[in-house]
Amino acid sequence: MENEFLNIYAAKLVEYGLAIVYMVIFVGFWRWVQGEPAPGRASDTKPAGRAS
Amino acid sequence: MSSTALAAAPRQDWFREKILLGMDLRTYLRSLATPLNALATLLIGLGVTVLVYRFAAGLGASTNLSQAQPWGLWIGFDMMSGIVLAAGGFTIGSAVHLFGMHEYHPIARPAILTAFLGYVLAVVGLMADLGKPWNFYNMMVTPGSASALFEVAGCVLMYTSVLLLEFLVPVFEWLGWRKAHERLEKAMLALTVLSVVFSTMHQSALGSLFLIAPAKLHPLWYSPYIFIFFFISAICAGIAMVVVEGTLTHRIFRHRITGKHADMDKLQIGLGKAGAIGLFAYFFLKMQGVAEGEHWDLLFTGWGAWFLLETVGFVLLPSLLYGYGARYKKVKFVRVAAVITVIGIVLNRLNVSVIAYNWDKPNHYVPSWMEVSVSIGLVTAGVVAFRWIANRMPIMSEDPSFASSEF
Repeated sequence: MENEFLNIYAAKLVEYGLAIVYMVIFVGFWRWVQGEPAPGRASDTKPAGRAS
Repeated sequence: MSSTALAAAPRQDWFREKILLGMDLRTYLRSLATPLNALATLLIGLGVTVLVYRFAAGLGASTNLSQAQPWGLWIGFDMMSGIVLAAGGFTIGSAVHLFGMHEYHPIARPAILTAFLGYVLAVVGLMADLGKPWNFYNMMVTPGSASALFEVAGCVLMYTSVLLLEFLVPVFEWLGWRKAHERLEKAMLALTVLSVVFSTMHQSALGSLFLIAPAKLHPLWYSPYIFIFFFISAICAGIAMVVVEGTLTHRIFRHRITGKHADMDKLQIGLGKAGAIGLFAYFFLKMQGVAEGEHWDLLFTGWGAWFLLETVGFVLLPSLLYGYGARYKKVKFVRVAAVITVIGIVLNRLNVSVIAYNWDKPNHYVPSWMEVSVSIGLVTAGVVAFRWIANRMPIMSEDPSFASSEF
């Protein structure tokens, strides 16, 4: 009996395709989330105050 | 003065200091008379009354459940949503104690308390649904070890016990029991490992329950990967709940923080990064579910629109908001994303267990007012219990006299 895992049918192709698309987009998304914004963009966080 | 009277005086002082927040009984009772407390009493009172009625008259009299629809709001909201929203305990616990991210330590205790209360209330909701709570021990005597429900029940029982032990650390600090505190601290690493194991098992097993109902659950929500969806979404819900709960408690219980205040904005931006990545992965996993079942055509139906609202509106959108907030250090975006995520995960659990369950039956289940009142009463009881505990015990920060406490 052939191993089902090795069968290639439409749904499997879409699944593997989706996984590859996800990995490609994920790398870009990860770098975007982790990256520093261009200088000059304001942020919400307050600068650390000096200890009195 | 007699020796009995001498012994009673310190006991009274202790009670006044620890329970009545330093007030005498009359002043304390007067301080409780607020509109919010009155509303909470009303909601909890109504919930308890309905619970008593449910146990006296049965499920048929108090709920809209039937043989065709045996699971309703108490399972979909109290149990499924209550458990998933309590995932912050193991998410933050493992981040701090297993992965060494000690900067998140200041938010670990509120997360563990929320998780503990969430589990206790979920179990109460489950008991309301099951009935005959005194029979619960049968699960341990005659285990159905091949059943997903047995795995859920066993893990919830054990994880609630682990959470109780983790919660005892601040309780012992509050009571000043140094020896018990020391002993418990030694066991904490093992307890954290157990909490991750039990959580992983039952968060996913809650999804596995639906593997036996492919004909009842709408194909867009049913997937052989459903247990993975449940586990990944539990991590996302845990992160979101820690952000939401941290924002609220840090404001409300600010006066309870001793020592250095943690930079909540920075911590929440860090959590935002994790939330963005987690939800991004979860979104693609949900799409894998659609691809596996080849249900793309169903996306263009009414149910498809509802599914897309859940996956795009409450998964992809908060993922992008988290990402934007984390990248540009805009903590408000992270907080908004966390609120949307919490709503989205609750919506998902309700979709799976109530809304899209028996979706093709002519008479669809709608919860009765009594079911709703019990759920509202339980949530209110959880909030009141959290406030009572956080106002007395070292939840927002460690007791300074237990300076070496790592948990």
